[in-house]
Amino acid sequence: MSERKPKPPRDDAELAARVEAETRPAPWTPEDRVRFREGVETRVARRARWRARRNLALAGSLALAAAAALFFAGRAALGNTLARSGSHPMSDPAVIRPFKIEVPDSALTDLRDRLARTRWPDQIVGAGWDYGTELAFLRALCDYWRTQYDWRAHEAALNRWPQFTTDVDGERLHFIHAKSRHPDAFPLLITHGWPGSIVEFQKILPLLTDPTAHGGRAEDAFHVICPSMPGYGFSGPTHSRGWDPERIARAEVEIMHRLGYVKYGAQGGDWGAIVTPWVARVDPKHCAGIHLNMLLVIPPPDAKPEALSEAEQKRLAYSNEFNASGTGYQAIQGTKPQTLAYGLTDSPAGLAGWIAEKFRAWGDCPDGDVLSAFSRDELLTNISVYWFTGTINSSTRLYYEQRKSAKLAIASGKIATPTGCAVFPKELYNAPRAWAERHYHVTHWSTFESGGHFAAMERPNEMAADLRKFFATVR
Amino acid sequence: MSSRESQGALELLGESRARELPSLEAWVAVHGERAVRIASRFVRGDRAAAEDIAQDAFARAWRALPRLRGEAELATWLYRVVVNEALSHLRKQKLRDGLVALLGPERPAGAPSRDPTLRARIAAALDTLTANERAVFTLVHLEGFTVEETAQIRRRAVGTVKSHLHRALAKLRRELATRWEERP
Repeated sequence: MSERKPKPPRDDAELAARVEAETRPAPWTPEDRVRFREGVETRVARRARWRARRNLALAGSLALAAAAALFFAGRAALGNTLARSGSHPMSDPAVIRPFKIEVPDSALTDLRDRLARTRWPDQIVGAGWDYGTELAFLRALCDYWRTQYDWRAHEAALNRWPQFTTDVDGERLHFIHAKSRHPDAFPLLITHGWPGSIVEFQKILPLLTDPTAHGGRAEDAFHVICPSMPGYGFSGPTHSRGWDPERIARAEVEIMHRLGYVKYGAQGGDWGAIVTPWVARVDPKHCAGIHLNMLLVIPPPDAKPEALSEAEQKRLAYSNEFNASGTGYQAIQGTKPQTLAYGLTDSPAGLAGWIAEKFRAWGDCPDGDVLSAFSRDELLTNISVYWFTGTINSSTRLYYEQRKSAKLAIASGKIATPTGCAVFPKELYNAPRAWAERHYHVTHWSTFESGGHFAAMERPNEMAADLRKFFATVR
Repeated sequence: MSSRESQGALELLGESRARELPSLEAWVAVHGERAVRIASRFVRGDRAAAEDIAQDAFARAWRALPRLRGEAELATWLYRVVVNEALSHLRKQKLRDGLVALLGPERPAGAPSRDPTLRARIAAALDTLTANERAVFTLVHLEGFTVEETAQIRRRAVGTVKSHLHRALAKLRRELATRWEERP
């Protein structure tokens, strides 16, 4: 108990602020919200039953002639009451259920067995990575995966974060809900991309949720929500057509609403940077700001690349090179993903080869050394998530669905939500700021000396600092 | 609720305007926490009592939904019921407090305060406000409603709300200034 006499407030605003702080209850947890809604539903049902009984009692107590008429009225009233009660979600798909990752031992044994029996392709001597994933690298990685990699340790690390599932739009969606111990933390929705997963955010989560333990301030804290996108990882394969970025954004917004967040921020890279603008588009009243670490824009019709700065021209040249030589995967995933899926779903080595090459090509890997940017365990935990959940097929369908819907949030007018952009030099698409400002209300722009496509993994400290800085302006 | 179920529920309401209204779950998602928070500010952070008040208000408002004209009216109605129920609870609580011994069991607290004596002082100061003063002070200064919104929720004229607000602030200033001069 404090021995110091509190100072009187300077003015009415300070007085009100002190009263507010001292009467504010603890924020809701997901469990609070579910318990509260169930309580409301119970009361709604109880009231409906009570009204039905009252209607019947009323009908029975009246004279015969009148009773005949009122009986049918009572029946009608009862019918309506029950029908309406039945329409309420008493067995509610919106329920948020706790979730733990528990891969069965049989799946681990099967993985090791398949890895041991891999039939390896040939490779031209000295070809390195010129033709795609290098044979020697992949053999070593798969050998480590089979003999030393400890999935159980990484499973336990992932399970340190509270995880949940909830049914949205006909699919079960999985998400991490890492609540900060700081009560005024700002809710932040982070969306991954392909071939990423929630594994990308393991290093940045502690920095965002517990800033005071990592050199930050309590007012920088975030409650972080990381969904596994529909069709990805622990959300499992999707079961219907049409899961394009807009639909994914709507599902994520639904999760945020179910969690009770009425003001939040959203962040994304890769597909997350395409889904996140949709979040701002479909939920502008509640989404207070978006932060992107990949900037895909529609170049202006009168674009004059020569008028751009040297750095901007360099970044554009990087994107053009990627478009020319690095997008074969988009063509196959966008046109015949099912055909690709048989091999990748059956062979862990095939899957690792398909995914690891992207981490090497897209990360900031000096001299092409992928292990200088990502540890073997990081790579394999992400690949294992795809493997154990059998979601490489449904994950690649996103490219197909995007081609089919051909919709972009930025195509239908400027997004008014304040937008922060983090520009890492090895990012695949980094539009010039002037081009980005045609689509976004850019209020924050940061450029970094190093780092690539998987910024939360590669540069977690810089990324966390940038998120704190930008969201401080909108929280 | 899936979009199919949601659609079915709306059709059952038989109101074309009902299409503009949210599902129960969405409505709870948007207003639930705030409703509980408002209630909790009247009941000294007694979470169970606050949830009880808010749940009852939701259930009553849900029944009234077909009669209401849209989300805005629904929200105004809901918060009106929450405030009225909370004030009613407060009146009953004060009656009970007058009857039980002075050293009754401690009420459950909300979020822990850095200075528990300050929390107690503020709770006591709030108890000196009339029902109207407390309601408008809570809605405007603690929950961020505008004076106009507060007037709608309380079904009072804007001038009346301003006058209650003025008196509430003057009382709190006086009460807290006095109390802050005392040693803890």
